[in-house]
Amino acid sequence: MALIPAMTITIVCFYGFIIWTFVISLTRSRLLPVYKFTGFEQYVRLFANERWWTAMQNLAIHGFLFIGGCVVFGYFLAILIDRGVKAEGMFRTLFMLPLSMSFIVTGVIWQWVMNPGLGLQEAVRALGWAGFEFNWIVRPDRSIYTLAIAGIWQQVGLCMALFLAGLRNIDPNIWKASRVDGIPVWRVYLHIITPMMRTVFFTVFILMSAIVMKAFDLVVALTGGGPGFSSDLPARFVVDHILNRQELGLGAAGAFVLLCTVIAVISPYIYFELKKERGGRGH
Amino acid sequence: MFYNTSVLEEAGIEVPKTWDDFIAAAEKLKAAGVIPIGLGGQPWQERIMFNSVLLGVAGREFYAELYSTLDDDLLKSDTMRKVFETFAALKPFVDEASPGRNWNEATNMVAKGEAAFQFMGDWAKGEIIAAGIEPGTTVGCAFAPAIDTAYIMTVDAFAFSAMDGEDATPAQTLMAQVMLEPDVQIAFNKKKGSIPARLDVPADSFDVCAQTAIKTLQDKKTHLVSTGLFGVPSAVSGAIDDTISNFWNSADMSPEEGQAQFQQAISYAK
Repeated sequence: MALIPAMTITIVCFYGFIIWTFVISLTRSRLLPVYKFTGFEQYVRLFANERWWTAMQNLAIHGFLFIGGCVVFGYFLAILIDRGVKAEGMFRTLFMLPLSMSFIVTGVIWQWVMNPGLGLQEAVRALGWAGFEFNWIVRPDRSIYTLAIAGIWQQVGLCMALFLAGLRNIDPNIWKASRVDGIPVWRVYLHIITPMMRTVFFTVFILMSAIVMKAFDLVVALTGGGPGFSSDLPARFVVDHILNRQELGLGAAGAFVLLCTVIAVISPYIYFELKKERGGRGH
Repeated sequence: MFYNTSVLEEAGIEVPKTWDDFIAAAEKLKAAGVIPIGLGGQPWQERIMFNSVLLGVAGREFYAELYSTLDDDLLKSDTMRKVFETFAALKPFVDEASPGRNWNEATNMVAKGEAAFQFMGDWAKGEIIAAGIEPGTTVGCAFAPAIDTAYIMTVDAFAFSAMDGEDATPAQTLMAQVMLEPDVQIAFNKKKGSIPARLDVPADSFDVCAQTAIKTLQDKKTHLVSTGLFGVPSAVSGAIDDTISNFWNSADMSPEEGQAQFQQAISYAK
């Protein structure tokens, strides 16, 4: 009984609107919903749109680099802190600090840093290294990587905190035993600790995936999708078409394809992880 | 089109009247170490430049017909290819840091003499005046190179919502009347850097740029509209922005490919 309000909200707001989005995507709605069905015409238009494919490809690149980068750097920082550094509290705060900023602020900061005329490139050249180049943000073939750089910078602190919590939960006896056996530290991390941290990796992966899928504000603030539409992401494509271009049907089709893609990519991983956990509990 | 007079004088060039002249002038300027075009690399600014080229190369009748009919034959025509070729020829004349730049930063580049030309609406005059320069002096203005004279207009509109109460409608009417009074038009447009919305306002108190514009608009044939705001559905204008910006920023895309994508994007969006 107590769950009824929550369930109603979930069903209406979540599944209800997914269905509604799908219905809209079958119509030729422009500014406002109209229910004149045209079959899969919006999907045909969507798949013929080069900007959409650029955005989808960018999602794959950005997702891979961003999640990978957050996991690798976050884990690495957590290990460094866990090894016992002086002023641990200070480092923890330092790495967590970017998280307190919104993606918009992050985007603006990095836009300045990476601007070839005022940022890092100009600063290094002023120091005397005239051939130094860091102009990714203005190069259509590199601009997507700048998103990952800014994104990782912002989110790595959160990943570090999660990994650190996991590392602190490791039974100290494991460390004592490995010392007795004379196993090098890196092997303990690689072969013993990392497999034990499986659930933490899972959590980080899911959290970061969610951030990638809805990545919108970072693109808007950092590159505006440019140069051209080389750093566009599907979420921005969808919002742009629904709100700015009066292409409600096309935007809805984009949103639905995005949802299907996400389900297709993420669900096998979630399924296997959860199955393994359930199996593990049986022992 | 705005330009820095002293930069042009130093390089020994006249204000170009055709796009071929412009490209020749830009090469000279580049060799002299000046950025020929101060461009804010955002889609709408790239579109302003594209439309200037379209108008300049193809003429005002082609411009008006293309955007009112979005006709496939026109989009596929040789004239259109010439437009894309000319537009592509401008690519080497912007600086590296252009993508993403705001328009007023580009205007400042022209005011400071770092860049020679900028293609922008007359609102750029606000920045120029703020930099302490009287438009028409250090920073000059001219129509972008073109085969015939035309004025691509961007219009600001005020909308009143329907309201309850007896006083509301007369108040709204009064507001509209006051706004369109010649004196108000003059005072407002001098501050904003634009030109009056009515043609019968005396032009003599305006700066040189505005005077030219007001005089030009007396001939109705010169009236054209900006694609960003009016004339075409926003789905089409969005598709136009996408393809132009993509073409401008893809160094290896040929004019033929750009033209084909432009035509395709418009036919899918309309």
